[in-house]
Amino acid sequence: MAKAKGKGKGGKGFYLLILIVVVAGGLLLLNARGSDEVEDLAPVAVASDPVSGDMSSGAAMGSDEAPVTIMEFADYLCPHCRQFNALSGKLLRQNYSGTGGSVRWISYDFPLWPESWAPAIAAKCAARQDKYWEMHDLLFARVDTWREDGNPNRKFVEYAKDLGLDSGAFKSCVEGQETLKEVQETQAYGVSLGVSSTPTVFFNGQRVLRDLDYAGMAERIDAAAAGTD
Amino acid sequence: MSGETRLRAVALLALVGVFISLYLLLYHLGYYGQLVCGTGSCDTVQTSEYSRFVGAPVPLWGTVWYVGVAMLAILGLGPWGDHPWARGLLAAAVTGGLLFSVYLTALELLVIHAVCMWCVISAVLTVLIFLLVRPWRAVRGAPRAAS
Repeated sequence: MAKAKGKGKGGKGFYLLILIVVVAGGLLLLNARGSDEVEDLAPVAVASDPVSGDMSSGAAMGSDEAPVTIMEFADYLCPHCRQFNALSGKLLRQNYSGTGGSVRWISYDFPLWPESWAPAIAAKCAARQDKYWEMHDLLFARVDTWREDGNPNRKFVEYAKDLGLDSGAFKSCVEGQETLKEVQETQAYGVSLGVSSTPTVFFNGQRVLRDLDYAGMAERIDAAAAGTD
Repeated sequence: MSGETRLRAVALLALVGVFISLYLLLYHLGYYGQLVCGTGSCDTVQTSEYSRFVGAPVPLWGTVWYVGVAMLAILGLGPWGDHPWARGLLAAAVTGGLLFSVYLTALELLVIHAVCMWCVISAVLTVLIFLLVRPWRAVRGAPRAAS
């Protein structure tokens, strides 16, 4: 009968190495999450003096007097942005940015890819008819239906109809790229803050690098609103 | 180097690959806010449209592949290792992994025009595993344990 391999000379050392790799890998995975929860970015504190973009170029929801300001830079083609919007952003805005809410939420379109400009322009066109957030959520929710489309504007016009917008005005807006400059401003503002990836989230001027899930963000908001953060 | 030593090295390298893939997978699932990426453009690659393959995140495929290779290598150290199907399965797995790795690297260089440090490390692991397993010998039916 053949001798079972792996139990001969060096077998114990091999399994010890396996154990070391498992423990080290596990610790590294845990540590990677735990490091640098927030990163101070001084430019946010002087946001009124941007290089070329404008803080007001973002779409805002919530009171100016809210104790918490959350700034979100997102790309409609970014899967993590879609996930963040679906699992955190949408619910947080719903629960914290309504009347008397503790969060002023400002969303900045930050196109990373050439194909990301069309949806960003469409969202801004919807904003002209006070439907930015509805279009924002719809663009994320239906990304699989427009991302492969050679002319996604046709789809966006259908979405506009679904949302009850003046589809003629909306179509004219997206096809004429009338809001291109506004998107350029939101992108430029992000660049001036050092944003280079999405989603990038700032919580009262501090960049949030982890716990972007609903529970983590809600806990942070509640603590800030209670004045204990 | 004996066949047994080669299999042990394959198991260890695959285990390292498991953790790299898991790290990228957890990032893909939103567990990490940002990737630690010393050099290269990890975010660009990981958020590109090519970060999914057949409906699932590429790191998920990587994790499954590395776990499979590690298990086959460890099983190969046991009495089943002498069976032709065990050698053939491992040889097929590492060959498929190498081809997929070449495809992903080509995408990075030629289509996405960005390179992710973790992807490069994973590609190097895949090549090393391929060279250690020597699937061309398995095809010819050479004894696995021959040095």
